[in-house]
Amino acid sequence: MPDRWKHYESPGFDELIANDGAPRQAAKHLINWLNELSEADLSHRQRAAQLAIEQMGITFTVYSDKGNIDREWPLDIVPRVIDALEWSKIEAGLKQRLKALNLFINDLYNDQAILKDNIIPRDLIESSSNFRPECLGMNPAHGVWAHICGSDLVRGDDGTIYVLEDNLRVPSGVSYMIENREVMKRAMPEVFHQCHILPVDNYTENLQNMLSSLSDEEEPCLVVMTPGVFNSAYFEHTFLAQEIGAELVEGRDLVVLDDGYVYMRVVGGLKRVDVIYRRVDDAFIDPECFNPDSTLGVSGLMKAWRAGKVAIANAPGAGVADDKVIYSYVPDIIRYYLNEEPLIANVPTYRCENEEERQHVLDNLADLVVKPANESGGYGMLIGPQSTAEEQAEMAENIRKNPRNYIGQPTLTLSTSPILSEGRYQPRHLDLRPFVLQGKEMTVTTGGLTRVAMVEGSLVVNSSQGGGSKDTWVVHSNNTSPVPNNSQRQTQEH
Amino acid sequence: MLARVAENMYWLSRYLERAENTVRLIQVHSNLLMDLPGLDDHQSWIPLISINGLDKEFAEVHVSATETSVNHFLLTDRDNPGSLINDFAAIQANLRSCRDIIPKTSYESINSLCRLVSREVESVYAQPSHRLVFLRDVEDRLQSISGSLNSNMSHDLAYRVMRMGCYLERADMTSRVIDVQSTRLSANYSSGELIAIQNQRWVAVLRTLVAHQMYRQQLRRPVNGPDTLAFLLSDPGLPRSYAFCLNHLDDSFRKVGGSEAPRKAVAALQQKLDSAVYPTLANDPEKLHEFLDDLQLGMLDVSAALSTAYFQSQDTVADGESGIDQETAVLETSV
Repeated sequence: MPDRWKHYESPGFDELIANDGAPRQAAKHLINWLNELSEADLSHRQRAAQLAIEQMGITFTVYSDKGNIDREWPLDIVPRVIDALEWSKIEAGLKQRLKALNLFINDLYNDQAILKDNIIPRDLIESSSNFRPECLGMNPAHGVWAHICGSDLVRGDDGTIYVLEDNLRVPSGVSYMIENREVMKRAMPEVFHQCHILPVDNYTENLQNMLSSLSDEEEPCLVVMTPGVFNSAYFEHTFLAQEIGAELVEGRDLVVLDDGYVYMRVVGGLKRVDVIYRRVDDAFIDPECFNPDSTLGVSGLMKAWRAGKVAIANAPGAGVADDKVIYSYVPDIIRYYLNEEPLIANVPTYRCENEEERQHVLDNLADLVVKPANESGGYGMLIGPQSTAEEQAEMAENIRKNPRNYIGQPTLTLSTSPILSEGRYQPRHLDLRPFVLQGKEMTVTTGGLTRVAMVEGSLVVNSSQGGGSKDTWVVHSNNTSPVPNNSQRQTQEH
Repeated sequence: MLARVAENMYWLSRYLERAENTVRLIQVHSNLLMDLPGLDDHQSWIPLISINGLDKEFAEVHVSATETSVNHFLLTDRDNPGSLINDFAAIQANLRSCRDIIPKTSYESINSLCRLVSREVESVYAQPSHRLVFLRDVEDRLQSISGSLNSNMSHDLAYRVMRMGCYLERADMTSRVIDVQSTRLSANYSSGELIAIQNQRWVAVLRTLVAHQMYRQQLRRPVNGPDTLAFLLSDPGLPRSYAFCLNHLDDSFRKVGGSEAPRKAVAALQQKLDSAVYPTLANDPEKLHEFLDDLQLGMLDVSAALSTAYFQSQDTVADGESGIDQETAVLETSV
């Protein structure tokens, strides 16, 4: 092994390197290929990847005092590899989970059987800021509310995969999953011939099909609705609109007419819209119904949706299942609706609302991870082992003030994977966000977006807070490739 | 296509064409000066400012024109709304709003070029040899972008709107170059000079618009005022001639359909060209200036008409009535 591996040792489970220091089966081809590269060649690949990211304009936007800044998307060039056999099990688990979650949301806004059967306490739902009474009685197409879900998966040090959280509102990141692959194809084209890497770009095709399945029209008019050019995920909004051939609209481009339908302002007049893939939070989509100050939304949109004149993905109100307290009930939800045992485990979770569990959290703040129930992007959380006494005291205060809003979880030693840093491989913690689409049919991305903490020992993988990413390979590890037999092209005869 | 995005496409295209004009103009002009001995610094360089209609803005910050002050002003001055660096800032801002419409490869080329310009322009503008290499590179890239848009984008509504922006900008530049180069240079030579020297200014006009070679191929007689004007304003085949741009504008309007107003504004300009007597205009700088001024005003009417017709929201349902076919925008072979 080259010097680059010197002193490489994971504090937990490593995705590429087994305990004995040898590459795992699925990563064998990759590691062998990487080891044959000279130092100069390897750093050349790293620069090539960086250049591709700049040229392709793959950015994310950070908010700062000096206004919004576009930053280049951070990508580490050592891919994360998952064995296809393991992946098929994860995929089945995700499908099971989303099926149950959508049954659950639909039940909450209609019969509320799960509340009547006392599986979940009623006041927990009614106190959730993402429960929208305006949605009661709605029956969206196929009974599906969360059409696009990004669930975060992590692996503990015994190798078990857990679901860390479900993002059912406006999950982002899928464009980076696809673009990471494009960048890797430019940076190390040879390796794709040697490994059997399953493609990821069928996602956009699936997304288009899924969105179309939400309308009765044969060729429905789809739009992607963005808060605008200053949103942190604007890159992704344009990317997805382009990939599915939809217009990228802002609230001001849409209008609801007297006939109850939604129209967009196109050259020469108005055009009817059938399906809205909205990347604007519930609270801002319709000033008539929710936040009256919202300039991002469209007046009358909720009325149009309720009347079945337009489909919205994700459906308003779907975020109720995004609540981290409700997360702790998901295993029960799966058992209740599907009569099955969960295929992917939840991280054990203490609900601060419960007095006993709250005390346990308060007594163990230094060891636990504490999260607010309805935040995303890693904001407002406490990572016990990395926190100061002051931060812990502040969190204790918050919990006492509003116990319903907090959960505690044991600090997992997240699995690691090597990143290339200053010419050497170093283990860094990571997670995985696969995306699940559900409309008439259900599909899961092949792998997902791997986010990696770039700082040694850090568990924070959010790109807004300095995290990086990796291309994620789902690989058939025991396959040999047949040589393709192309027929020859015709040439001029002499 | 969204009306808002159509407007972004239109301006993206105008700024791309404008940037191309700027970099070509500086290159050609620098070259031209080497063949015009006897002009002082100010006389040499101020036409570049006048062609861009920036005399007032320039006078506010510089006492006189020199090679360095003019190049700084036109290339890197962030306070000059018409500088190349501001052109590219506008390109980037518009590009952001129509990223989903532009083909990915073209997006990449435009994005890379924006980065190149903002990275390098500061360090090259003051050194003639580096500057010329840089300008040539930028021009090449802009032309390859225009080629890639032409062959990768469907020739639909979005494409037509871009062509509108391009031809409008180009026609405007042609009239400006004729205006400035013909009158300015003629003022620098006294009336008794040889005809050959007098005709030198018409060569300068042709060369500024990269039309000298095409002129010689087509006319096969010495460069003279009336022929030059007729060639640059009325020739149907020269891509930078005024008539050529008008034809293509009209063609785009016809294919997109909808309001008749933009086509009427173009027709008014075409009539103006048809009635021009070039021998008279060539010998009377005053009259020529007036004539070109009228063309520029007429072009403002065209731009106002197209903006009303295509970019302003009309809250009526588009199907059928407006006559604008959103999906296909009529595909025909171009004129």
